[in-house]
Amino acid sequence: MLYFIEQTNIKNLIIDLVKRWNVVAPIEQDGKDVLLEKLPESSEKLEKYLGRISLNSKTANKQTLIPPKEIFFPQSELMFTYSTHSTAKKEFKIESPASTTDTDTAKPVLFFGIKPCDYYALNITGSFFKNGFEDFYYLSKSKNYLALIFGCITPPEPESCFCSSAGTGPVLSKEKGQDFDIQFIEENAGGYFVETGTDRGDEFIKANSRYFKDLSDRKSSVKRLKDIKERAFKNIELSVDFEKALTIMEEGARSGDTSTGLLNSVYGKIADRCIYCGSCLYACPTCTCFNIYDSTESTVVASERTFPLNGERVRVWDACVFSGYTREASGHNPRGESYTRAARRYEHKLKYDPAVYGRSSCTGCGRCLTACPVNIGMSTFIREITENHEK
Amino acid sequence: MKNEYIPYPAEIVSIRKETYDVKTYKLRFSDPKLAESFSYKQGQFVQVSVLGTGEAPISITSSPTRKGFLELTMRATGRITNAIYGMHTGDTVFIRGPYGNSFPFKELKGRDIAFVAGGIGLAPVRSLINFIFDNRHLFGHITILYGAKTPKDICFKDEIKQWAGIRDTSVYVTVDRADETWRENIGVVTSLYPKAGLKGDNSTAVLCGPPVMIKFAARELLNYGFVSDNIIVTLERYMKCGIGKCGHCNIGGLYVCTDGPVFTWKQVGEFPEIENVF
Repeated sequence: MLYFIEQTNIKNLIIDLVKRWNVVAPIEQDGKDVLLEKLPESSEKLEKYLGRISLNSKTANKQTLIPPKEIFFPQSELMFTYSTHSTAKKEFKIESPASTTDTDTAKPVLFFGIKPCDYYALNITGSFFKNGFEDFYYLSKSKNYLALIFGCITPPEPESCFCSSAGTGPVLSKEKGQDFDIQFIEENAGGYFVETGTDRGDEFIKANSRYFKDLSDRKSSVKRLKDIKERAFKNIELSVDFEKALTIMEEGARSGDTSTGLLNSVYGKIADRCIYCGSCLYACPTCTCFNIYDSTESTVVASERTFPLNGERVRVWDACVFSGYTREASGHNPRGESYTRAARRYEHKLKYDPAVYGRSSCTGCGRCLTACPVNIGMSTFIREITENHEK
Repeated sequence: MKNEYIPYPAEIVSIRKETYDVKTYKLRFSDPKLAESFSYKQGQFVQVSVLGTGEAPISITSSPTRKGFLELTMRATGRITNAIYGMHTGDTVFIRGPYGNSFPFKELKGRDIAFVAGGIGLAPVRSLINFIFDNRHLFGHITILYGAKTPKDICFKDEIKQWAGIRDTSVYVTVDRADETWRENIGVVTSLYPKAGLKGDNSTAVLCGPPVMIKFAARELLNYGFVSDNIIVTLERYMKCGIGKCGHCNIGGLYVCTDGPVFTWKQVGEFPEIENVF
């Protein structure tokens, strides 16, 4: 179905939505960076946020610095608290905070203004955390969330966005087999076309019908939307041969193939330049690796445990490019060599995830390149291997 | 939805000193219901917590045939194992699991089995050894080849003697460096192969030990007629979650914690070469 919403109605719609949803929206910060933030319910506080909301439009279209995974998988997350008087006395308590103390989780999350690439990323992290053992923290936070996608008419980061190569944007189309609940496409400064792709999307419109005008029967509007979408693709400046890269990576899995030598030389080059800061992986919307540690009120040395002991078990984002990532207590380190860690980072996204899940876990958002201090990104890697591949 | 990350208190009911830095801890869950219901398979591991210090993956060394308790053997190596090394009977640790696949029962049933273990690597395979001895009629000849650095590093000394007395069982022990009391073999574990008369037909080998031992011990087995499908190894990697989420133990598209830790040598041969597993 196709609808239209006037620009002036956006604010009122959000004011309505915060009552029923835990609304998360891209908010411009003082330094002009855009971050996803939970919108407050009180109208007084909300007003301050509404003026700084950064939706995809010609005037303000920015990528969120931190990808949306942080809403369900925060950079640092409390897993449980513990308190114990001694290891011998049976007085200890373990308390998990999620879904019991965080009353916000009672309301499902609504992303108001998420880019198509990040919508794909959420699907990828969601299916990862659901696969096999279910991840309690991610799944309880993400339960019943809804994403209002805002398509990109112009790329927010023209030098690093390559979503059209990865097949995740800049706008989504049902005709291409792309699933989505709701997508907003800016028509002009005055408003947005709103497409629904599922019953859930239609129900959302129905529940907020006073803000939306039904255009489903208007052929001219359908045509106009199609034109806008086509133009969005033309506006993408960076393009790479994603499919060829996937083929090379798959071939590289078979030793002795011509691709293996090329890949190893590229990993070597990257290893020499990479400073192993991990920025690309923190910025990546589909990277899910984490570390777990105990944080106590006082520093505890293993041999000198003092009681009572109160603290928290915390999980934090980790990155496979760190040398300690695979180092065992014995000192043995399967990826001690830097080029093996460079390889891991690219092969996970472009070789192993396609083999396991049937799709790459790179969405082409370009954040890795934007974040990299030495100018290496997924797109530069793909260009390096596809342009130097002889066959 | 179950929160798989929450560990449960378990009391140390007894401690046996194996060597100067290795101890075996017998644990029982403090919750009687959990102590009763907790079940596992030979070859699985648990995540052990010392609150305030952290958590580490440790293989279960007891056999699932012996119920009501759990045995873990640990060398004091890192933060967690050192903290536990200083604990006493009656102290509490926290456990979650069991995790990982297990030594295959169906594939091993009816076959001769050759165990090749090095150092504390005997601990995970001990679970299977005792499982087999508790179901002795289901298996053929059992050969146990065990190597340690020095006589002082040999774990499960008394049990090894008992195993040698079980029918249809051969046990050989070797050390890298002997002392004046040592009367048995000196050399790496593969030096026991000719003595043990290993033959690949109707035999499956089960290996665990330091990475370098696994590599050479498995390769040498191929020269004794073992095919890579019939060589089973159990691997160790740095892990945080144990449930296929944290990413630390991945090898290619596999997770040692959920797809392993038990793999056939054939599977290991298919691991991406970029991973320096051994």
